[in-house]
Amino acid sequence: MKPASAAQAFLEGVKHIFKRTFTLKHPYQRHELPDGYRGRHLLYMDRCTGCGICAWICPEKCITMVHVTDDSVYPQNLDKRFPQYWYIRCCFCHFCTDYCPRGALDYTKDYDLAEYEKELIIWSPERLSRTPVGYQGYRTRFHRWAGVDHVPSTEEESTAR
Amino acid sequence: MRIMVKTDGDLIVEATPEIGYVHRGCEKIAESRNIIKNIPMLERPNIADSSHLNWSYVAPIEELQRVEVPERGLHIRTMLCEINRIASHLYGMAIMAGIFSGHTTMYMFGFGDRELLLDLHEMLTGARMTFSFFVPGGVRRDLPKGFIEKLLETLDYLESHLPAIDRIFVSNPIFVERARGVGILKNEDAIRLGVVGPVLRGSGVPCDVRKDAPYGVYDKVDFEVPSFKEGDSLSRWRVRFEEIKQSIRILRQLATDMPKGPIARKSPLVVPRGEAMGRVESSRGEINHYVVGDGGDKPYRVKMSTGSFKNLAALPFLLKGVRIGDMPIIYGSLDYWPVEADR
Repeated sequence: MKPASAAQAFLEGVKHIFKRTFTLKHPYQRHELPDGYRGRHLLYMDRCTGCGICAWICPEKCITMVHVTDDSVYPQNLDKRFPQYWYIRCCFCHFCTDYCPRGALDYTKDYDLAEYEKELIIWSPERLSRTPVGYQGYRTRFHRWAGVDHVPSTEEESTAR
Repeated sequence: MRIMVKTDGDLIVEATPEIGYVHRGCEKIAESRNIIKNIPMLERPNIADSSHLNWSYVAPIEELQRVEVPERGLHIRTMLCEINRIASHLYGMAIMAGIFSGHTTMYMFGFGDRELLLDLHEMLTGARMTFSFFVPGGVRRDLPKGFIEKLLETLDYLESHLPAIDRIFVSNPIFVERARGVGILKNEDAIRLGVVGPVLRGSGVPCDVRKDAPYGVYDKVDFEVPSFKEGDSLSRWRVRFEEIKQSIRILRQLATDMPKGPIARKSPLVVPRGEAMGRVESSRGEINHYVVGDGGDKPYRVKMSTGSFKNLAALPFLLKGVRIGDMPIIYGSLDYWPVEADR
């Protein structure tokens, strides 16, 4: 391998001034996540039987089966036993979702789980069953010579490609 | 890790690496959990390279259970491992070579390109870094729709960007002059000290588990094992750079002939009585998991042996007699991952 000259290396750096910006301004622009992204869990309370397989398979012991004290009746789960997640411990392996025999747990694209209070990181079954709020995602777009940039995922791709 | 260095003026007389600061006792914890629960924990030691650790742990269990992974499952495993290898090498080139030699452009290039590979990880497994994707019997998910197209698109881009990385970093005279002839590990020293992976191949020994004891579908794909005779820090980085090209070559072959069929077979939740070892070539060298089963759902004993720990044996040898300013370059060229070595 012949070493390049320092001028070539410098030119390569200069070329990149004219290329597109790859960076996303994160909290305002979010990367589009694919389906099946392993974010926080979604609980379908009308399917869960309270068998506790999720709590058994959890490697980090972050799931506790708790009794729910609301007025609604769950015919498949008369005991009203549902999983409660302690997200400090969760490692997002989603073995609980894979092992659930009734399909009561699901993946979401929610990953911003930081809280100001320690107690709030414990997610009750009611909170887990809430549908996550969507956001505008940005996906990567490849360009022949100008590198990679991000475009809003719903917007039609420009013809520059 | 810290390195205790005795110096004579500017020259290092003796260097002693002190490891164990991030020791977690993975091997002991593994004895108290069942085989599925061990998967996320035993891949954590190297988060940039977790799929190889995962495979190395799962392979001996499959051997003991006498479960054959279907062809498609093996293809997906090999594919994920090669994507992971590129991502890990780019990470190493960004931090251990780029930052340690003061080359921040390489840091930006490496992390920018790695992000595209993490997108592929995300699409296939659902996680960016620690996948927990291989379970005894196969893999957890099939290839998602549009994955092959996105993979090929990413590889096209990466291949077009590699010459730029080459010009700005690997053959940039500023880096070449900094790393050439620094930390020379001769052929016979490399064999005597027992180093593995790119460090060994950088000393002119073309030794690679993927060729020597093929696992997965590596016996069906066509690739070369790059090795360089010089044995200095530069040649170790050149090995990694050439390996990225070879991984792209492997991925292209895998993408074109993906067999149809099941991705996993059923496997029982027990480790039958017996002993087995997994051999996997990770991006930092050979990784072994030695699993002893006693018929229960927990392994009786899991012994890990990782590439970083083996490569660390060369560090006191390489640091002897060099100037203190060369230390970051030599340490960086081993691509050492402390947690992987300490377990």
